[in-house]
Amino acid sequence: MNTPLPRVAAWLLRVTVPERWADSITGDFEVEWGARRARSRWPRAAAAVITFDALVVAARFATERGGALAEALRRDVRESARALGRRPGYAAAAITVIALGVALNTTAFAIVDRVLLAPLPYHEPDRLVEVRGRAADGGEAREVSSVDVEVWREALGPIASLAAYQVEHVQVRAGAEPMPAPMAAAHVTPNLFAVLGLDAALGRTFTGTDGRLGAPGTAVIAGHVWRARFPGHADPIGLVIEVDGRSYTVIGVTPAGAEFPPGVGVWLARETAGARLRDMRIEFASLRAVARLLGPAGLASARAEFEQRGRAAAGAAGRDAAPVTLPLRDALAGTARRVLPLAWAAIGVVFVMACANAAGLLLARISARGRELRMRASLGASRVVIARHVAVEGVLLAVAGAAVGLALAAAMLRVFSRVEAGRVPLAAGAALDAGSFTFALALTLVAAVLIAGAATAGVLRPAARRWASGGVLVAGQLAICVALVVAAALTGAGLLTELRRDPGFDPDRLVVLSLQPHASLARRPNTAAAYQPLLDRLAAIDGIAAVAMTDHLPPVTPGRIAPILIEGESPAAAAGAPPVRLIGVTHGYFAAMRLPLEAGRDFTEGEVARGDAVAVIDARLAARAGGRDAIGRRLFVHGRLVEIVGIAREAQVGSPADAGDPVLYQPLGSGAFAAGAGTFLTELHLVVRSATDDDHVPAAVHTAVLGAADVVRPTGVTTLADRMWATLAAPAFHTTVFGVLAVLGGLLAALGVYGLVSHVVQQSTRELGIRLALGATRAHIAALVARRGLAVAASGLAAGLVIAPAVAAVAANRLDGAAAPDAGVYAATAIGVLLIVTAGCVSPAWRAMRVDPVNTLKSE
Amino acid sequence: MLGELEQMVLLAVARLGEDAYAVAVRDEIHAQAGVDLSRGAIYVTLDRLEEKGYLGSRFSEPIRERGGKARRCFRLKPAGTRALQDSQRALANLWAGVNLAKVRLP
Repeated sequence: MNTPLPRVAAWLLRVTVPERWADSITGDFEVEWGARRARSRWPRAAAAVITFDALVVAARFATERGGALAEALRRDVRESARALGRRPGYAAAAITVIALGVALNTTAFAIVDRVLLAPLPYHEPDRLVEVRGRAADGGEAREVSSVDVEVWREALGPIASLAAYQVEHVQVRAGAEPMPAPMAAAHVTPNLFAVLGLDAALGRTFTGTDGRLGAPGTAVIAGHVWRARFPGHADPIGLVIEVDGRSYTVIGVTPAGAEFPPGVGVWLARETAGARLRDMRIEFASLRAVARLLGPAGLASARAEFEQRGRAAAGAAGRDAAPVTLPLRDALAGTARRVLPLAWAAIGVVFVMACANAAGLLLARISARGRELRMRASLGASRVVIARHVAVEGVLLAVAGAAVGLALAAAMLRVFSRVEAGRVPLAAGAALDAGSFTFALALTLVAAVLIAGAATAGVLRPAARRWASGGVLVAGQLAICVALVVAAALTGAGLLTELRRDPGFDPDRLVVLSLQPHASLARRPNTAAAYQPLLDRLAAIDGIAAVAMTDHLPPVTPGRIAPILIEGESPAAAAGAPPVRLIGVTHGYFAAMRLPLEAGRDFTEGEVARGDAVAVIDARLAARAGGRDAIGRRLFVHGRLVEIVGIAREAQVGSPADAGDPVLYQPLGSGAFAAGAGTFLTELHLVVRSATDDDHVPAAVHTAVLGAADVVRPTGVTTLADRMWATLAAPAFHTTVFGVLAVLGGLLAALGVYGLVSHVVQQSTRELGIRLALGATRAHIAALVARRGLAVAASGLAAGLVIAPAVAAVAANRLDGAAAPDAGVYAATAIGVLLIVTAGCVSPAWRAMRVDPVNTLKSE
Repeated sequence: MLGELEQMVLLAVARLGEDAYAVAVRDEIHAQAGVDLSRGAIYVTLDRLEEKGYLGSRFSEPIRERGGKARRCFRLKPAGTRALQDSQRALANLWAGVNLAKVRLP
């Protein structure tokens, strides 16, 4: 009599033993189980033995079955690879599509990881903050004065250590080699490296004695500077280098990739001299500050305490600027924080599109292979087997695409680091590493699942509904394409507006040298007079057409705002007028900038040297002061009565956002002194109009300025055109990114339309043949094909236009410089989508028109 | 060339004739060769040999003592006989002239 097996044993046998064995094996086990139980004194032990036996049998069958499946899969892979090889065009198209998707995503990940995710290469980087100055009127500046830095340092000592630095452009050489091109150097407080928690890779960093007045000059250099500039010196420690003509001994080399601030190659120690400067009533807001928050408090509360104590200390010291903090990573990443995730999301969408496309191609090809599949089915292959076949082909495509994509990503990252990395802070050094490699693997998996899943689902569906699902895929692609084109159009339109804007002056061939005045000038009432010899010397240099100085230069800082009252104007009217920007200039500024005077005259050298109460106003302010009759009228500014001597054309002062503010030009340094506030210069620039495109002008100017060390020190050389370009870097980057994505999206969508319509034409060859036989013209056939394409286009476009306003809103919110959407953008997008659909339809329609009715019907 | 396990199973089936079902095959191998094989190995090997066309199988009549469950009974097919003969010949050829006493062990 048979005895039921222990439950676990029975279950094991049930799930693993194939049907043909089931009865036989269960019977054997039951017989044995009965015998054992009868013999054994411990039924539980007998049950354990029989269960173990069942487990062994189960394992045998499971491995046998796994082996069989593996063998079948191997066969499928071989067959799929051979099938792909037979249609190289199709395989190449699908692999390219996936490769592009994987490459773009991996590149984006590597950059995002570098900029937003990877920890900064400093000790406990979460405790590092950038410290900015916030004025009572709410204005925030990254550049702060050394006086403020000292006030904050003193008050915040117990809860934070604070360091300051200033980046300048210097000429660095060893020995008597020729003067090299200027490079970025940072004058830093000696504690900067301690605040960062950054140790030297070689030698040491600064200690408290470095940077003291009278101490020998010491310098820390970046590893890449050592290798590129002093390759002959195996050990750079102790090397004496010349920085802008002064000698410094190299004491240390920083580790690669940890340069702070990024891009700097040389560090020179310099203690702040705020107290001294304050006594001399001269301030120059040129320092940036970074702090490490100490103590156990959480980041948020530590920041709050820092700002609160700093505010109190600033108030007690009678200072306008209170410290505010920003996590260092956020400060360094800047707007990339908002832009990168958006770009990445767009790239992710393109990736899904690419997968949908590959799946569509696969489906279309399967339909084309309908006869083969029907034959297989009639030979007994179940739909599941065919689906497995298709899935294997999809996975194969995904893997091949991902492999090509990885190589492409490596190349893209190399191009990026050479071309664009400068525009994205912290992005330098983004490369394929373990993280991005893992990400690419995960992407491959996603692609495989998406492609194989979509294609398999397609195969398992009846043929009639396959067209419908293909249509949905393509319509979705078109909708995404609309969104990408809208984003690209908005960023592009914004950039174009900026490029077309007439700044009012001529930025070409204008060399700009940024300066810092010497502290000894503080006691002089009119600093401008001290600069005159330098200006004269520069004007005499061959190739220089005009030269002048200004304290505010577009397109970065717009000039201080001051209320003014024009003689004869009612105080109420003056209060309601827009704020006026004050800009200090020397004689010759308007000529150097090629900023035409519409009436009146420029300041004379004497007026500037004496700081006379004269002003040149721009056309906007002139409109308020009586147009051309304004010449000779007087106005109050900072409590001083000044006479209008000239009217200048309207020109951009700060960034484009500041455009429209009226401007009042005064002799450099005169206005502020009259107000008794001390010279508070935020900037000082030399503008030099070059008569030729010669490269020697910037170098000659730099050398001449080094010769005037008693009045100024150069902090950077550039051209005004570069400065103007620099503000367009963000919109240009956005336009590049979204433009490329829109083009790719367009290509993918066109490919999708092509695949779908080709598929339809192929499926309806018989129908077309009959129509032609019944007298339909070729034009009719083309129209028929086009109608099918347009139906998909219409739904895709409609869906796209529904999401487009949302895309526009996000773009306006996150992308600086993006234009506001208008009907024109949407109309252009719609036309673009129609072009894409047409491009996708041309070849299939052509094929449909050339269907030969006789042959087609014969073959059926 | 057959594997050792396959040879043993085929030979056991050949010896058992009509009564060749899994448990009997296992017992036969144990009795004659002194080799204790796991049940799973027997089932799977029988399966594989059938797939290769060396064995044929049928279900026995339901057996009362087994709770009405049938056995799967195997018999040698001509291909199986040929395979056994090939193996025997191959081994005989290999053995010919081998004197183990003279073989030097490494």
